[in-house]
Amino acid sequence: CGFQLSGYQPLPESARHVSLILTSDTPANLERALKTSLRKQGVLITADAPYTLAIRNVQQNRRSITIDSNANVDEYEMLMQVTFEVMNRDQQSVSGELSAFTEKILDYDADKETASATLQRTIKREMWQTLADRIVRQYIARAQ
Amino acid sequence: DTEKPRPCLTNLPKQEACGASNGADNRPASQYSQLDWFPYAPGTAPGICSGRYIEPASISSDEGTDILDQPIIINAEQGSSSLGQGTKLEGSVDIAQGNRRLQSESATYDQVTGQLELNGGASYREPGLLLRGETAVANTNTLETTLTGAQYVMHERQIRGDVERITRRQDESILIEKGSYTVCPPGDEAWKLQASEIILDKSSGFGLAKHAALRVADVPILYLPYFYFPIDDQRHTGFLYPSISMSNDDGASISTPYYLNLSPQMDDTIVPHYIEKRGFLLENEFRYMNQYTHNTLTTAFLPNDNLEDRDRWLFSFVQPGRWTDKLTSEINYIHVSDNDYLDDLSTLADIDGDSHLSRIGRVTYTEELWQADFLLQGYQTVDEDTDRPYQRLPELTFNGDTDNNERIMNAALIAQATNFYRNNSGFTGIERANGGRLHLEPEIYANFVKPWGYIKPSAKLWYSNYNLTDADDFDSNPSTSVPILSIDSGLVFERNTEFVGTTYKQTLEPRLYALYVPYEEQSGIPDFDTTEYNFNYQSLFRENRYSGYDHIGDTQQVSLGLTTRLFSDLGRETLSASIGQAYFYSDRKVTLDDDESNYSNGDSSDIATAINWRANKRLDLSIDANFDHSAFRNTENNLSLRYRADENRIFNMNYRYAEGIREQSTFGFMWPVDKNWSTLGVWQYDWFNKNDVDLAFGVEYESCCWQTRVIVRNWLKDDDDKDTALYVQFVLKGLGNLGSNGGSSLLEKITGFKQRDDNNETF
Amino acid sequence: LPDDRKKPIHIAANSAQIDENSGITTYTGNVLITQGTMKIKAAKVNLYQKNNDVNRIVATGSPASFSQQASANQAITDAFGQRLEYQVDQQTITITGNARVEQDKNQFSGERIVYQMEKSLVNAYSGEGNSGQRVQMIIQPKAK
Repeated sequence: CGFQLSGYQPLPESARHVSLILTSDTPANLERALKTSLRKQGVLITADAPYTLAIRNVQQNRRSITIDSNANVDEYEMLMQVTFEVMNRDQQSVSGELSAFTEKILDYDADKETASATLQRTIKREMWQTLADRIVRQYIARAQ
Repeated sequence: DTEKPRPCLTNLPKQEACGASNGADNRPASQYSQLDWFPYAPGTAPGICSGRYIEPASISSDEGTDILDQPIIINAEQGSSSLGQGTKLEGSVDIAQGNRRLQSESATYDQVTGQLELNGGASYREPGLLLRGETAVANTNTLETTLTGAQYVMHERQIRGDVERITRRQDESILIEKGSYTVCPPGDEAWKLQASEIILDKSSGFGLAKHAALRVADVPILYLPYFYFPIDDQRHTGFLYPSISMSNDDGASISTPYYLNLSPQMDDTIVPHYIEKRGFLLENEFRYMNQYTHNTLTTAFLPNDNLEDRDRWLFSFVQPGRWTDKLTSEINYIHVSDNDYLDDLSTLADIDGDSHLSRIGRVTYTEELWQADFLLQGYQTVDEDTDRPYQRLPELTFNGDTDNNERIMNAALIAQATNFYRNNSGFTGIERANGGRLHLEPEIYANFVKPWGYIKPSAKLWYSNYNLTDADDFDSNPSTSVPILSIDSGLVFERNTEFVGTTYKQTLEPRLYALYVPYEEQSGIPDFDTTEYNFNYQSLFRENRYSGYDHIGDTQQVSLGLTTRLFSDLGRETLSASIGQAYFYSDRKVTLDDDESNYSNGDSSDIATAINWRANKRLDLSIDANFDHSAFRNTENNLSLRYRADENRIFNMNYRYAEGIREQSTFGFMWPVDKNWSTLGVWQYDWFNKNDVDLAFGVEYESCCWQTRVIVRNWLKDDDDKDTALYVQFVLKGLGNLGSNGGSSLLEKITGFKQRDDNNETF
Repeated sequence: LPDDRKKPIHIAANSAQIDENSGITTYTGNVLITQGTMKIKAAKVNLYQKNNDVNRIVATGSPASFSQQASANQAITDAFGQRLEYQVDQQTITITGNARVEQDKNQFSGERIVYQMEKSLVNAYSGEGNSGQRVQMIIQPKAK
C-alpha cells in the first residue's frame, strides 16, 4: 500500500539554528518542552539565527466539563493554545500568525486535591510537550 | 461686503464648509458635514455604524517643529492692523498655526499678548479634534483655546457632545463645562453623559466627569458624582468598565472602577462596588512590573455584609518571576474571609480552584538537562464536606535527563523530598498519617534513534521511603523499592497520500512497549499525592498506572499501539489517529486504598483509540474512545468539537461518556444573525440522570454606540437546587456597561477560556 | 520717521519729463526717491506738485517698492505692489496689484492695502469675486 520505512530527511540547513523569543509570561514548562523538542530534532538555539521562532501568546484554562450529582466538579478540561510566528533574519514574518491547540480531560476528586494536583501537573507537562512538538514541526517546515 | 456667489447650501461660515481655500475638501456634502460626519452610501457600510467622521485634508505643516515656533498664517476678506499690536479681520477669517486652525466670520488679534478673539460662528481644528461654537478666545502663546455654546468631535473614537464652554488646554487635555459626552453618531441620542465638568485627557486616554448624569434615550437613569472612563483605543488591559446590575439575592449593585496609570510599571484599579442588600465593597488591585517580576496585589473589604452580618475580605498576591533565564519563581497566595466569599462576591483576583484554594511559593532553577524545584504549597478549604488536602511544607524536587538522540547511553534521575502535613482530626487509619517522603527514581536507558524507528530499553529503580507520624498501628517508616524494566520501540513508515482533495505526507507508526514491574506490598503506604490515571491511549505507554510517587502499579505487560498521521506541506499535523491495547502476563495486585480500580484483571486491557483532526484553522475535532476488550463495547468516549471562525463566530461541543459512571454533553455557540443581531447559547445535559445541567439562551443587539444582551439561564447550582436568572446587559460603547455580567461564566463554557469581565468588546 | 517730511526729496532716474501745464513730472527707468528714511523704488514714477510742493507720488513697477521707518522704536516697514500711490499730506500709501507690506518679519498681503504711516495702521482688502486674492497676514513667532 505504498508505505516504506521513512527515509532520512536531513534538517534543512536554514533550520539548523533558531533564535527563540518568548513573552515574559511564557510558562517555564512550555519553554522547557520547546527546548527538548528542538534538541530532539537536532536544532540549536542561538542568539543570531536565520530564522526566529517567536511565541506570541500563551493561553491556558482549566474549566469544569462534567459535574457530579450534587453539582460539584467531576472532571476538568484543560485547554491550551499557543499562537506563534516564524520570522526571518530582519524580523519579518514568513508564516503569519500560527497557532497550536490541545485539550485533555482531567479527573478531579475534591477529596484528593493534592493527588489531583499532581495528576494535573503530569498531564499538563505531556500537553506542553505535544504543543511544543507541533510548534517545532511547523517551524522546521517554514524555516526553509 | 457684497454677497459672494458660493456654490454651497449650508448656513455656516461659507468659506469653510464649502472647501477651504487652502485644503482640498473633496468630502461629500451631508446633513452633519459641519461636524465632519459623513454617512456611507447605502449598503457600503463596513461595520455597524451608518457613517464616519472624516477630517478635511489638513494643511501640511512641518510636523517636527514645536507649534510655538510655527508662523501664524491668517486669511480673511478684509484686515486692518496697527503693526505689531492689534489686528481686526473680517469675512471668512482663517487662522492657522502649525496643524491647528481657527475659523470664524470675524476676529481680532493682539500680537503683543497673543490674544485672539473670534465671533460670528467660530471653529477650532487640530488633528483628531473639532470644536465648533458661537465665539472663541484663543492665545497663540499659550495654545489655549476656549469656545462657548459649542459642539465638539474627537474623530478617532467617534466622541462628540454639546457644551456651554469647552477649553483645549495647554497640556492638550480638554475641559468641558456643562456639556455632554457620547459616542453615538450625530442625530442619534441613544445615550449621553451630561456633566457639570468633563476632562478628556488624550495622553492618558481617560475621561473624568464630575456631577454626571447618564441619560439613556434622554431619560436620566443614573447620577454619579465622579465618573472615570476610557476615551481612546489604547487597550487598557485590566481596565474595568463601570457596571450596574440587578439580581434577586443582591438587589441593585453599581461598580465604578477608577484606573490610575501611576507609571509605565505601576497601575492601580480601585473598584468601589455598592451592593444594595450587602453593603459597600471596596476592592483594590495594585500591579507593579519590573524586569524580573509581575506583581499583582488584590485586596477587598466589605464591612458588615448585611446578608451575612459579618465583615468580608479577600487578600491575594500573585508574583510570577523570571530572575535569570534559568531561575524562575512563582508566588500565588489567596485568603478569603469565609467559605462563601467567592460564591457571593465577584473579584478581580485570578482564582484557581473550587473547593480548595491553592497557595504556592515556588522557586525553579532550570539547566539544559536538569531542573531543581523548591515548592511550598498550602490550601484554604472552602468546601467543608470535602477532605482537607495534604499540604507540601516543603517539597524539593530534582529531575535530570541526559535525553539526547546523538548519545546512545542516557541516564535520568528523579529525586524528591516532601513533608506532607494536614490537620488529621476526623480521619481514620492510614489517612491520619502525616510525615516526610523521600522518593528516588534513578534510570539508565539506551536511545537507538533513526528516522525510520527507535528502540529505547530502560532500567529504573522506584524507591520511596517514609517517615510518618500518627501512623497508628501502621509501620511509621514504610518503604518501597521496585525495579521497572521497560522497552519502548517503534517504526515509522511513510508515503504521500490524498485526503479530502489535498496531498499529505502520511506516516504509519507501530509501537511496542514492554513493561515489567514486580509486585511489592504497598498497602501500608498513605496516598499523599497518588491517584489513578484515566485509562486512555497515552496511559497504555506509562510506566505507572498511578500518578504521584506513593504507589507503583505492578505489571507484566506488552502494549501495542498503531498511529497514523497526516502532515500538510507546511508541517501542520492535520490528522492523527491511534489505536492501542495492552496484554497482561500476570495479575495486577497493587490497588489504591479506596480500591476502586478500573483496570480489569483480565489478560488484556480495553482497546483505546484517539483521533485528532484539525481540518483547518477554524475546526478542531478530537475523539478518544475506549472499547471493552472482549465485547468491543464502547466503554468510554470523549468527543470534543471546536469551531471558531472569529471572536463572534464560535461553536463547540463536548460529549463525555463513561459506562455506568457518567454521560454528559455540553454544547455552546455564539453566532451572528445579521450585522446587528447575534445569538448565543449553552446547553449542558446530563444524559445519565436525564437532567439539564445548564440551559441558557441569549440575544444580542449591537448598534453603532450601544450594545445590549439579554440572557435567560437555568442551571444546577447545588445537587437538585436549580436557579434561574435573567441577565440584562447594556453596554454604552466607550463608556461602560450596565447590567450584570453573570454571563462571563457562561462565556467560558462557549469559548473555553476565561473572559476578563472588562473585555467588553466581546462582552 | 515723523520728521521725514521736512527732509529734502532726492530723485534719481534714467530719464525725466516735466509737463509744465499739469505740473506732473514723470520719471522712468530705475527710479529711486529718497526722503529721510523713506525710499521708493519703481520702474516709473509720476510726481504731482501743487503750488510748488509735492502732494502726490504714484509709482508703478513689477513690483514697485516703498520702505520707511515709521518711528524711532519701530522696525522698518516695506511695501511692495504693482502700483503705489503716496498721498503726502494724508501720509497714506495705497498699494494695489499683489500688494504686500512687511514689518519685523510679519507680512500682510492682499488685493489692495492702505498704509497710514503716522498711525502705522494697515488696512487690507481682498479682491472681488471668488478668484480675487484674499487678505493674508503671516506673523512670525516671537524669538524665544
